[in-house]
Amino acid sequence: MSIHNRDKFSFATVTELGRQIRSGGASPTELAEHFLERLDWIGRQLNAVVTLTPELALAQAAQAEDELAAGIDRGLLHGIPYGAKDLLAVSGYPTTWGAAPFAEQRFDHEAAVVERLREAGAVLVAKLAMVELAGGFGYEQPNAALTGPGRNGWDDGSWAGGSSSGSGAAVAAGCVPVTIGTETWGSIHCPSAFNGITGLRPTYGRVSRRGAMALSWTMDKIGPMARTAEDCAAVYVTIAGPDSADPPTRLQKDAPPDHGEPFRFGVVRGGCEHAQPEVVANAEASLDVLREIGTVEEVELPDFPWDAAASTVVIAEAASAFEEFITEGKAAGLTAPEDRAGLYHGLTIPAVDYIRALRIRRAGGRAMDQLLIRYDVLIAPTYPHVAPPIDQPFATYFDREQRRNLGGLGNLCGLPSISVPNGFGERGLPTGLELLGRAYGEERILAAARAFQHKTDWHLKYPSHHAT
Amino acid sequence: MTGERSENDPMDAAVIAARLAEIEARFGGALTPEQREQVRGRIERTLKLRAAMRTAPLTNADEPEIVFAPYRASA
Repeated sequence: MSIHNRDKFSFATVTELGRQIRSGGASPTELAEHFLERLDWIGRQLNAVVTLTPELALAQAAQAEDELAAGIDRGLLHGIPYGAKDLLAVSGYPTTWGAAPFAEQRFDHEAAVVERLREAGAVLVAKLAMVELAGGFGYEQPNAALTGPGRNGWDDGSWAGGSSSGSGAAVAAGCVPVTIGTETWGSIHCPSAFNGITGLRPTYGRVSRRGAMALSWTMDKIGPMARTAEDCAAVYVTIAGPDSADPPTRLQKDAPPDHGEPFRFGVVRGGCEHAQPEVVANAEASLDVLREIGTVEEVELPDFPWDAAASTVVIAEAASAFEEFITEGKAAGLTAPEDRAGLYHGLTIPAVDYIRALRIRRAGGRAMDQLLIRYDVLIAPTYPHVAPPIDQPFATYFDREQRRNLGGLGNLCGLPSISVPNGFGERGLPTGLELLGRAYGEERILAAARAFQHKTDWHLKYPSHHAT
Repeated sequence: MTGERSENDPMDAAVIAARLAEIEARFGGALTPEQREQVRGRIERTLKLRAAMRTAPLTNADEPEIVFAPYRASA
């Protein structure tokens, strides 16, 4: 499928839209109106929207138009519409964190990423749906959000993934070309893979978390979700960088400039265990593509209890971040019944267990870095299955204990990673491939993902029933 | 690596009971029977996480990954 003439904006990339703006084929106001309309129409059907921001969007679009007409060009994102996960503060609008108890919450400041995108001339059109409190309370089925269960952009009878549910579905369904998601453990990659889009999880500390809801102070990351790696790169370079208000961003290290092909790919041994047959077949086909742009070797991951340590960190930090909310009984107002008592257990984790997890993070992080000196990118299916049905508990579709490949170790160690679409599986739903790199090695994984997408067209596919 | 111990282990069963008692002491009135069972299951899972983490061969020299910078304002 290619971009249909009748709908030249909806499924275009940021790069294509930027070209249209500069060639006179579209104005920022026209784009803002187009995507606001689709968000209001399709986005709401998918439960992907919390709040549309038309007043702000049209003002920002008008400003972009005036500046471009005056010869002021702020770069690729100038005049481009985007959506933000609703845990990022935007003054003048509610910031619900996806949770009913915070439905009326407002901040008088804006998140650092929103500020940086505004300075780059991007146009905020919506605050997008998410699993309540970023999924930190242990939800076990899709109906765990203020706005209802997030529906998949390819099939509204399937889940959009979480916790950046609306961000994934909105891009897939052509409601917005790029969104900002967040990930503590899987929240960018899951909806990216399930919706057949590209999602970048930067290194921990690359992107300021100022103005974002805290779930886990040492694991929360903010990153772009878009159609292509090229678009993710354009947003990433805009939002990354030090911020005095977010100390980990001041510890960033520079990686050497990217040197292009060939790449050294390490394929995780056992990465396809428990995977659906189509996921395995798509991963094998992807490896054939990767062999055209580099070397491919099977690798054994360092043996650490990655998932146990990552779980301990998230549970303990989330219980602390929401201690008052829990102790005051406010969790009773959450949507998912299992979330209402979901973090009591986190209040009883001993400090020595939490510190042990941090010791594993240090030892494991060094072991991973040694491995990643030998390989540019580690490869595994992003998830071993496609999106589950919207109306069933997750446990009826997959075993959560078996769903993790690089997620636990990648997030525990704060490593950058990108998920790219690599085919379709059960029920015609997308599958994803994860490319994980060395700390601060975003350029390298983005280059590898771009090279993969130059040789494939999975990122150009879109759900034709959402074309107009 | 996975934790091997569970509620069937007498020591774990005692820890689960103690932690559940702590939660009930603080929030007991707020928990339905179903929620009590859910909390008990999640406590049991944290003990499995604890057991799994003890399989990592850490030594006295393996520090936690903590960066602490004593604060001093620029003024």
